[in-house]
Amino acid sequence: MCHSGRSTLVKMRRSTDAALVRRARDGSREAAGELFARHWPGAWRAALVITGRREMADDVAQDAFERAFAALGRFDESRPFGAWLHRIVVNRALDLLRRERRLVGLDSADEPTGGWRDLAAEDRALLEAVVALSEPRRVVIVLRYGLGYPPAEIGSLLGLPTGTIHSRLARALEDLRELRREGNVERS
Amino acid sequence: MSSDLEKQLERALREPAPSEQSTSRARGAALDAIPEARPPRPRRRRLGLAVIAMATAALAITGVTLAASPAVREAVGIDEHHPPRHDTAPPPDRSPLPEGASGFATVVGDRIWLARPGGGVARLRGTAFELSPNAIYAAAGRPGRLVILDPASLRRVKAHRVDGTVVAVAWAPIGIRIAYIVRHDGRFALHLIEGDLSGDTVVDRDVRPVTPAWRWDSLAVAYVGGNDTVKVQDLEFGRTVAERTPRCAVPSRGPTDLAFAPHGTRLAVAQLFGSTGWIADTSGGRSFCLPLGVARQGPIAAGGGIAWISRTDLMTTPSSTLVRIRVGVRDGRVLQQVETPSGLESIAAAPDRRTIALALNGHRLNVMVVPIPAPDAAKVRLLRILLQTPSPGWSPGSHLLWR
Repeated sequence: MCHSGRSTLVKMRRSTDAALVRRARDGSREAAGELFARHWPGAWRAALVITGRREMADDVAQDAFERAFAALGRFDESRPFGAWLHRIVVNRALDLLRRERRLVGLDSADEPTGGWRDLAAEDRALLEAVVALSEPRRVVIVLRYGLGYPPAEIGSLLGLPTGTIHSRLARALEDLRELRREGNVERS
Repeated sequence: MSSDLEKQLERALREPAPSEQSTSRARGAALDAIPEARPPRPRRRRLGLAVIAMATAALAITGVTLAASPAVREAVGIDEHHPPRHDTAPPPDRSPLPEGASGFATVVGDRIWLARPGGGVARLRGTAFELSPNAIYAAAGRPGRLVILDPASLRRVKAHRVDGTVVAVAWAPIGIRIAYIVRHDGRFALHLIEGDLSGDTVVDRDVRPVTPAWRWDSLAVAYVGGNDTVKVQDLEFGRTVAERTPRCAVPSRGPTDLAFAPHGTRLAVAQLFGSTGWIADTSGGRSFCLPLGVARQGPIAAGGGIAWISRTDLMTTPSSTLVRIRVGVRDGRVLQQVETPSGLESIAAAPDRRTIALALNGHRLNVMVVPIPAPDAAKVRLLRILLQTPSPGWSPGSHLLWR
């Protein structure tokens, strides 16, 4: 019994996402659970940095998983599950932010509630600067440095030319440098 | 080659971690979202029939519970296409209920989405639905029956035969009495019945199909009479009083929503025709119209367009705008108004009156929780998405229940 459980675990660790998707589609909760465990932290972090709030990140990432799992039957196995999921996360996060802006009005967007309160001061300041970026730039920063996608894949994920991604990344990095300089000046 | 900034970004962006609670909740919800795999088709029909016969015999021998039988499923109205899930061991913190809620349901037409305390959402069908105070029980309308359910297991606790179809149910705040409306031969009648479904009495044989509203002390129930007059049945003195519609609410047709204040005798009325809302002082004081605060008034959402958030303040929804009104003795004044996306269909206040739920109808129905903003605040902040449903088909009578 114990041996069998261990071999299942080993088998799952070796499984590709596509194999897990197939098994989850056939009703395996273990496979679905493994998919969740692999992708939840990244999806949640992306949602956190895009929305700037923990509660909203919880909702966005959970909602993205629910949508993705509910649509597993339609998922094209030849494509990476992670990229599909992350696209849902990004779209849901932006959708919610836009809806909230309609709820609260443009000038009264809520401040981030310190979703990274446990981080070192320097990292915290940097993440706050990322959240202060415009949405398109924030998204490419999260996808590039938070989730490790190369610019070409980000372009394919967002449906934009790679050149646009390069340009947004360069401008976002420039913005961040500028924000850091302003922060240093204020602190000194 | 990565710059220092890029390296720091890579490090910082991978630092934050989700809480165990949100992880556990999301995991449960995500696994529940996977459609159930279709069972493999039996190779031979004869073998399939034999298996069914054996299973039926085994169930009969072992005395399977009544709740599993099709008759009860029919009585309860569980949607066979979306049977509620019965996880044997749901993680304890997987509840989709908003904070402070004992029960939450979205009623859209004959479909009910019920947030379950153990996690997940059950989908049911019914002609009407209501949760008791603290969501200890649920009442569901079915053609020819009023059924009391256990919201956790969805098992039928008791059923009461009615002559017609139950179209609206309202549970008294103290929980021992239920008001319900039955449609029969094209007419609607208001009934009162005890919580154990005994002592069914007809209060009025000519009413409108608008959900009755109970006063906080459960000693009076307001409803809309057949001539569109708002009436209050006083259970303490056994009399019915017709409230005078204020002149400003003319044409005096079409009250669509009734809501008693959390304390006192004031009753808020939303009226579709004339797009207005008004306050009736059911203790005999004068009635007055509410200022809705928008230049171009549109209708208050039918079915949950008014939510009292304190003894004196209510929120309402004219022209798809969220308006907070302070209700005085002789008039009301607008404290705040916030634009919302089009499609605001209904609001419901939390039992602790700290948050409200909004139903927004678009290509999907989104039910969201937002904190009640301070009177001087200009913003509403989204807290949680409670529910999203496809093809909402929001219709008069659809509403949110928050207990």
